[in-house]
Amino acid sequence: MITDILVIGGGGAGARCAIECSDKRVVMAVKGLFGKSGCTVMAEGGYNAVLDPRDDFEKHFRDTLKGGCYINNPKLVKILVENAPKELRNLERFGALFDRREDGSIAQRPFGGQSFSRTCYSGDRTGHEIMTSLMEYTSKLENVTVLEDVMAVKLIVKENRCYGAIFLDLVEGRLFPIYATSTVLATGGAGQIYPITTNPLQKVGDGFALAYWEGVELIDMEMVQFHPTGMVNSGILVTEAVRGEGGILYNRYGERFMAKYDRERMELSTRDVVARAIYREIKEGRGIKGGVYLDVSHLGDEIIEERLETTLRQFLDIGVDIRREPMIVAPTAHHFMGGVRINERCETNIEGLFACGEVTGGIHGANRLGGNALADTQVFGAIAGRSAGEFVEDMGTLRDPVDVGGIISRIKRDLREKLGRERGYSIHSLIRDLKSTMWDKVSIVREERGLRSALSKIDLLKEHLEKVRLRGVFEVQRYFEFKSMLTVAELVTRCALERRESRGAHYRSDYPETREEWRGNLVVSREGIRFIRSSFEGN
Amino acid sequence: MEWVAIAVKRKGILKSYRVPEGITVLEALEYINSNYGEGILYRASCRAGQCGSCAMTINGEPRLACKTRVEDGMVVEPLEGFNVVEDLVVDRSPYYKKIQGLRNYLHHEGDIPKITPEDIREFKGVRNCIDCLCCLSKCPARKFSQYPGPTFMRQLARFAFDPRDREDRERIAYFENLHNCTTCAKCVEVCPKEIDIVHRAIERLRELAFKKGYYLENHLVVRENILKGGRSVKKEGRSFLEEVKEEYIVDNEKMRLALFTGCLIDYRLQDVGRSAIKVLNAHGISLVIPKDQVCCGSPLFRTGQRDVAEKLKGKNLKVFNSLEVDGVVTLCAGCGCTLKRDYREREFQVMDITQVLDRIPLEYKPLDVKVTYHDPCHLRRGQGIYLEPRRILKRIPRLKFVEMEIPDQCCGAGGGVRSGRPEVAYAIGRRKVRMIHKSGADYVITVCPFCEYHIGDTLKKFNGGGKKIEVMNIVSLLERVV
Repeated sequence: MITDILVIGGGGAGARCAIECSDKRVVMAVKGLFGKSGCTVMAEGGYNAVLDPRDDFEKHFRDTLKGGCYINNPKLVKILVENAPKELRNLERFGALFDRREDGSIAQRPFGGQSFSRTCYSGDRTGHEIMTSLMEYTSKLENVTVLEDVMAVKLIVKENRCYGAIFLDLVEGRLFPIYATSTVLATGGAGQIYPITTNPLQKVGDGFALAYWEGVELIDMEMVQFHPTGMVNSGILVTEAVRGEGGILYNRYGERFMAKYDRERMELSTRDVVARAIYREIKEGRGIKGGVYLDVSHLGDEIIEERLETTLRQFLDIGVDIRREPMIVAPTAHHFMGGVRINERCETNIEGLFACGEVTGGIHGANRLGGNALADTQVFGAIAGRSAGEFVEDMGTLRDPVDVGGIISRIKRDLREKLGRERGYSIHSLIRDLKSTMWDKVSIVREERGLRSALSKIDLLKEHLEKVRLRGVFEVQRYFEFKSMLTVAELVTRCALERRESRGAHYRSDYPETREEWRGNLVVSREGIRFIRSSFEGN
Repeated sequence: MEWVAIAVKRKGILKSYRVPEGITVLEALEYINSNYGEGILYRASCRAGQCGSCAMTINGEPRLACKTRVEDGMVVEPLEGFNVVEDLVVDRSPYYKKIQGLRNYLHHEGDIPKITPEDIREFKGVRNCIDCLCCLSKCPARKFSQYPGPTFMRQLARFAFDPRDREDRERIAYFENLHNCTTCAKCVEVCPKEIDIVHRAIERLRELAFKKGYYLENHLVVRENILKGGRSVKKEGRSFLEEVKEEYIVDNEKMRLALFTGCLIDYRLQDVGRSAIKVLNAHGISLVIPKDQVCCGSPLFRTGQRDVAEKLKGKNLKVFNSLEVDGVVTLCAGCGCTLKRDYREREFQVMDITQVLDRIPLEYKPLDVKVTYHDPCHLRRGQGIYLEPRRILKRIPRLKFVEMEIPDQCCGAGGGVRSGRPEVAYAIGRRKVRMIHKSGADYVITVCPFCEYHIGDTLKKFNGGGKKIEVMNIVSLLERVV
């Protein structure tokens, strides 16, 4: 298949990107179902946009940088802040409807780490509202072809230019190329390298790995956000809107413990602070059943039913009525602030390769504010679409695609060998091993010894992967996913080891202070890790 | 750890696996693949009931694998009603094709008009669909007629309620056979997001369509009948209300109820009415029968003619609100459902006759018959009543009770389909009749005059020369044993 633009990923960013460049021929290749296998559809809380005359871009900019501990790329933040309202209006043109106030203006709620109530929402199914409207709008675009149940396993790159990607058909097991003039990575994050995460099953970090293997630079990979409130065991998200609407955290002794950690902002402190606070309460024996209490029972039934509908149902399903009793919550892997290093045009350091959404890094710095991710998907999705479209205009339609016969037969040979084995490691147990290592050593609180032992474990798992025995398409998919996971896990761990300080989501118990000399970014590529000091001096 | 066995269907063959108890079906599939090396293909993403990817048929019903806990003996199959691609993966392309064909996008130009919370209220009621396709899986109108299925009507309603949309969604819905829906509410029962497609989409769309002139001619006949005589059918001979006394009081009265007759008992099935009086009296229940009651309005509510329906409601409320009784008893699933749901201003409690008879049991005389029971949709799903009639039947000594294959599958009569689209009603009814025949029963018992009428006709129409089976109202049967 040859197309003008290949969008890898079918979440909020990918769909917005496809819409923007739909005057060209676009193929959107999705690992699961379109609109269903990314994080956007699950996002509950909201979308940050400056709409109120009492609010302004400068405030949103400051809040975002402060939340990101001043290592965000200020140029990208400026773009985010200034385009968020416009893209919100675009969403309403695509079909979305955000909740309104009586006077007809768009309702906004307070969210953690923000100086103004600027989070727009649609109940607590904001991401679903956005995704649904993007899907509706996409259905009218004749130039956009959606391919479902296909996984990108390798980018086609020759002489620092990208020409598409090689895919695995997840039902038939076939390997095939999609050639494109422009390729956009919109594959989301990698919450699934942890055993407890809010992310859908597909989010193993394919995009980070695909890019890294071809020499793309990644930034801030040590910055993994743990959402403070997930359901115990599964990690399924309990939205920040619960605290936004007035939810209170208690430990087993009924203490409102946030007073000890952030007296001023309490439950609405930034996510890193709240996550670590809950983590400590649990670690130090003040938790309950592996979590802490989160209570909204003091709010009126009507508020809960109307604005926290999803949360209400989610807990009714496990027999807890949040109108009457508290939830039990614990931190859960949520968002990768780091990712592919992009410029203001969503270009990477490989020609013809663009990126948008969670797979990119630099916008959110060391910690993302709730409500900024949905805005990010729309603002940068649109920019990536524009840039990818312009690149097609400059380069013209692809005439002679690169020969990938060699690459595909190499991949096939490797698979044949592993599929033909009588005995070998189980891919499933390797994945379990990696996840538990990441949770134990590279999660909310990190220290050198643990990080080093994680790296040796990752090395060992790489060796074991060579001796894996595969059966059927299901395990072939897991095999490719595990390759991505190993790469991402290694990058996160190496960068976490390198950053000898604590900042935002990255907390080192052996270096608990934030240090000015570390105010900057770790950029990692196949050449190694380098540190770039932040040039922004505005704090 | 305790274990349960679940069976998974692949390539038409069921295979059983031991999995830990208490986990979800989705976790069980992952468990089977990683521990038994099975490599079963299935779709799943969010694990939280928010993406709709993992819909499959579990114990015969469409469910989300991530929201369903395993039980011993559970059977997991690909989602019914779609072609299987591989294992539990089904082909969703017919859905995509159809939804695209409905111009599934906002038709809007220029600036967004002012929108208030009031404008969004209706919109939100049908908006949280996750495209899991569960509602399509079981819809009888989709199975047996040219009806795309519930979610498409929900989606058209979503646009019809949107103050920005300029397309004539009512027209599209009308030509997509909006009026083939029997309002059986199977879609509501299986929707993981609990979207009330019947009341919030179908009936509202029919109402909006009616105002624009998109309706079925026969539904106007029903309207005419009601406007003339207060009943949905034409009068033939003496009515039940003309025949009966105003009160049937018993000694040692255990309860005093007002009888809501409904149209068919009053004008067509007077015998059933008489049986009901006899059976209720035998159970120690006194009856009051107000003579100025009219049609409950169900045929109008269900077909979007709310204007006249509201007038009927007002009349009935006036009659029944002022009575000194313990409640109102209905003999018709449709009437009962309407009184319970649409008569919000009522000051009396409404009980289906089976609720009453079950609450005040009586020792019945033995009867040597084999019966099966058809669940009227508006009783089973409309009022949550399905155990009561079965308990009553099982109290009759020597009676042999057998279940048919799917006792609660719609007979095809409801929602104005029998009057407006008889060919659709018969197509749906034909499948029901086949099940009834297969059960080997002498009688099929039900509690709804509409079902009774329709199943009776359908039995006559499709009786391929086999054993003659009769449909009978539960009170007609009970009359023989009190």
